[in-house]
Amino acid sequence: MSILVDQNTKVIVQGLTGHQGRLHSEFSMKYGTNIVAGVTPGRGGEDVCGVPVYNTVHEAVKNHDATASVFYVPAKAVKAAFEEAIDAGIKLIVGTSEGISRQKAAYFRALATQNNARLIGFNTTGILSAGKCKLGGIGGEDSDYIYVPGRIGVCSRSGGMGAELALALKRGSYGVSTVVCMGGDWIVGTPMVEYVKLFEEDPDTDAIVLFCEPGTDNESELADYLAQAGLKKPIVALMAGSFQENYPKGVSFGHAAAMIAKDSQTISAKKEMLSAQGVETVTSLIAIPKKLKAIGIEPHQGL
Amino acid sequence: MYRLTENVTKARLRDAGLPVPAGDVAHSPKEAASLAEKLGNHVVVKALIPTGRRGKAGAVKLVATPDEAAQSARDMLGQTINGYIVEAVYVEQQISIATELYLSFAVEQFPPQVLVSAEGGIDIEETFRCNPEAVIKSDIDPVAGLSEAEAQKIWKQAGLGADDVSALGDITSKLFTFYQENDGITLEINPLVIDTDGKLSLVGAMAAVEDPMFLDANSGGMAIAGRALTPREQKVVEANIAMPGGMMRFTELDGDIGMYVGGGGSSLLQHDLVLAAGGRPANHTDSSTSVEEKITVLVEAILDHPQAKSLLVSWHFQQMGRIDKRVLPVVMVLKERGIDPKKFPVVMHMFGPGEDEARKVCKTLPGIHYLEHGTPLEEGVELIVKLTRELDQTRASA
Repeated sequence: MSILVDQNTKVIVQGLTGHQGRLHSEFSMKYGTNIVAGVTPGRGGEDVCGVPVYNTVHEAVKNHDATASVFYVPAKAVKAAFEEAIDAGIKLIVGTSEGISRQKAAYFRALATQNNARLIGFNTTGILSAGKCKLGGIGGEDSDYIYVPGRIGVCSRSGGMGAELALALKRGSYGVSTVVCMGGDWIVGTPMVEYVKLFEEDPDTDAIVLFCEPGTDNESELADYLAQAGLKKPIVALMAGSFQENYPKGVSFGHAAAMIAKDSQTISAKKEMLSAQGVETVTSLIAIPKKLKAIGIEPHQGL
Repeated sequence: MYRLTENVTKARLRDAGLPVPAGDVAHSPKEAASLAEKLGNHVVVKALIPTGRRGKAGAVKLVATPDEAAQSARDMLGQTINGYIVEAVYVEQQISIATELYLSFAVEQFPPQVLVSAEGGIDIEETFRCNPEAVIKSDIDPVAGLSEAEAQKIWKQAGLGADDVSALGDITSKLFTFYQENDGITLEINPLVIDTDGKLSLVGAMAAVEDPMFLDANSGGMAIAGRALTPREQKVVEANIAMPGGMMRFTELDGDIGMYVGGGGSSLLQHDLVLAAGGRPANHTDSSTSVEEKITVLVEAILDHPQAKSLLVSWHFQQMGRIDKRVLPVVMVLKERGIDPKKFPVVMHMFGPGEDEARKVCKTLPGIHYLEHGTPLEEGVELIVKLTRELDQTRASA
């Protein structure tokens, strides 16, 4: 098991004919992703690595029963592509594009939610269910080196850190079930708490590892949820960016999202509110496997 | 987040057909005087800096003649107000005020919100604190937008009478569309004035927008919140605007370890790790670009810091981008400047596609510490801190 995607998920790629789309889709298919079609307006009838390309999402969905879509679409073309995907009934969108403003992100999140769909991202490297499939650039050409299959669910606010968390787990002889990178923007399609809930329900995930940053209400929403629902599975959270508290509020030090707007969005505040709910917080990668061992999660690798 | 100066915000509002008082920018007392004359003598002279609370800082003056306008401009130009040097003033027609209201939009979280109050004017912060009920806050569905009818309801709640809510509903709905289309983070209209003829006017207008990649080259008036940009930061901002292909953020600090550390998350973690190991970063960097020319600008800015005495080049394990594209411009800049890594320590923690090529390039400049494949981020950080500290000790004993 895994969350959101597996080898049976039927995936279309919007922007398949572009350089990024072609490259990452090729890597994804080699990894096991069931990519059934591509969509590029005006390029219908072509094929990329044996995958048929359509002019519209509607045609692709009608012919292949796809439920998920990965976006390799330039920021300017995202709105039209997104509206089309939702209208065609796509239920999971992985948005890789960088440079989506908060206003647009809020619009996409509302549009997805109102249509019972889910958006991962934008500005995400994607989602990978180890040994099964991956959507997005996550893992690149050599996903097996970074993501060893196992029973730890990973949710990262940073794409690059998704890989570092998986490698830290690998060094500690742990493996991952699903790794999801939420996207580094201020407003993303799906908040952290939703991924935690999905991991809680996944029978093949024993513990959850998070990468947390300053800014946004992702961690405080999670703390509120845990306060009410209780801690169902062990959570270890790597907390990065406490240095920001040495500088004036509002100074941008990282991702658009890693900017402190309120006192509750500092790493110290987040550490405190998550710890109060039983989350194990750490400040370095090497501490993650040590902490997992300390709380009784046995090292394991393999499905 | 970048705050726009008043002239930029108001020009955009005017272009969108919204009622903004006539006004323009003056760079000298003489220009201020001639603008005052053109605008009917009764004008407001305001320091053109991207910050609020200018009234309290004495940076807003009501004058009645061109001479007075020139004098006010003379008083303000060159002053440092709220941390910004005043290089220009904004000269604007005075409006005869009947009522001052407050209106703002923010997207601090999902969904966006509108805030209105019948108690506008300079002391809105005071109103928020002492009388929070006077401020009406409402969520906006970004798909449906803010309709006139909804906006009217909000103003009614704020205590406005039937005579005014119709026009206010209309302008508030239009302002939300403007805010949404301009990718605003915040838009604050304070005061939103009903003049003595019963007409609405956007007298105060402050906006913050997304990072400079959303701006065009002519937007101007940008500053990192809290202080003005240093010349080196300005160069990086300009490179972002001039060249496509990924974003670079660069903030100068007062330490001595130059940091070309990548990606949002790993740059945050590594900054923490440097401090924890006892080091002090000379800058913070977060970049996603693989464009050689852009990286060159960034690396030059990092090395131009007068206090920089070492360089950490360290990214999270690369999955998608080729690392040799990032390492090559670093080595080129180091060579161009004749930097000897034996005296100016350089630590490389760059793993992933293109690593063999990157290692080859680094071998052409002896002394670079390129860590063994797969070394944890922590070890690169510890090494640069150690080497920088040893440098201090050598200098101290010399």
